Amino acid sequence: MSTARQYRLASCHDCGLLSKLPSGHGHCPRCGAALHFRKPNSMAKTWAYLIAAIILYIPANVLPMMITGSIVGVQSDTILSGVVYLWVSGEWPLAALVFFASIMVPMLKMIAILLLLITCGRRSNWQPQQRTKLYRLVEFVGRWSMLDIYVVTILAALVQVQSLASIAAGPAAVAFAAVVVLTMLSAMSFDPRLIWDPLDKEQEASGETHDAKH
Amino acid sequence: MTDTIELVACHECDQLQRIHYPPKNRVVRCCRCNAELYRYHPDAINRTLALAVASLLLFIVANAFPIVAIDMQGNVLATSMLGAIEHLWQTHVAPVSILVALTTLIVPGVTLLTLIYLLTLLQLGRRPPGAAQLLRLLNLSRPWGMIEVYLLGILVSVVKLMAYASVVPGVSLWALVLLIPLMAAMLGSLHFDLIWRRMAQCR
Repeated sequence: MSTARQYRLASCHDCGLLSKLPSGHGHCPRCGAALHFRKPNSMAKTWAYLIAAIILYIPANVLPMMITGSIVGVQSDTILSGVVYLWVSGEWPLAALVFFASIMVPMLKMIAILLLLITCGRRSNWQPQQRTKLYRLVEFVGRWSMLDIYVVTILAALVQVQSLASIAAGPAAVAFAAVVVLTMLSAMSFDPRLIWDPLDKEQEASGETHDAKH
Repeated sequence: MTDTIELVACHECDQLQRIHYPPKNRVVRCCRCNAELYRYHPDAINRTLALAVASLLLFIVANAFPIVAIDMQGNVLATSMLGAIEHLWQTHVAPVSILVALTTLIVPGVTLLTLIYLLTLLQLGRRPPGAAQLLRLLNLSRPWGMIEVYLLGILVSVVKLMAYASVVPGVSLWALVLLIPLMAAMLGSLHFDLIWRRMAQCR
């Protein structure tokens, strides 16, 4: 098994071209993008975005997402109470969909990134194949948590008959939107090659001594 | 194009491996982590361009007409994608409207226009100016286009509203239903490496 870094080769993030990178940094000869063996400060950036996302996940769930005003009065709904409302009104497939997209997906995503960060931080060589699959799943599934934001946007625009009813987005919408953006940034700054690096130990060692010279 | 054997590194696990180019299969995967290394189709540029033009037309329709209209005890209200974003902008959650505009309007729109520009010039045998920057922009913006999630959001809203009012689907909704498989096919048919190879021939 040999990796590109072992041969001082780097593949361009943008165009995929493989080029020689003796000094450890440079630019892609084909497209001009910055070249490096691994995304710079990948772990630190991923941690930073993840911690910010975990903190904002609290107001996103506690504050109201949607404020409904009608002749009967004003009602605030959090994400969870919105799901409960859908469930009791008999729309259980919809309740399950919203619950999955806005509560389960962001939470599982943050747990998955945490798991990847901890295992990579400990240079674990446990189940690299499965962990790479997990990373792909996190990248793929992330966008679907925008669902509730879109629902609020459309409802707020449609329901504005002042005397009868009105719907407005609550402060949780901002927090939740931030969670979606931050978890996406977190997943994007993670370098999946870190999962595989501990597997090539002796190559790693030689690579690091080489790095130290520069 | 002659058959060559090339050395590539997997972008997910850094494994070095040799592959035939042009690849023998449509999709070439990494031998260690199974990541997609190449997606190759000899006619990918033509096909992507055709899908991009069709998508652009549907995208314009999807933005120009109302998505849904509701009839609430005689009050008929309709909203378009732009209208919904504008309404959100006026409320106290303006940052959300920027995100919604970015993911449903700006990113998909810019993606379509950029691809049409690049691929049209390539098909004419010319090297498109600014191609490197534009391709980098496309790469960066790719995860942020969320039209399919948006369509699901519309459908959820419609079901939620059906309890209170009669909901009339608009032209834009049908355009979106058609647009999503087209855009998925468009993004799925193209590997940027092919554009770079074609550009090298255009010089």
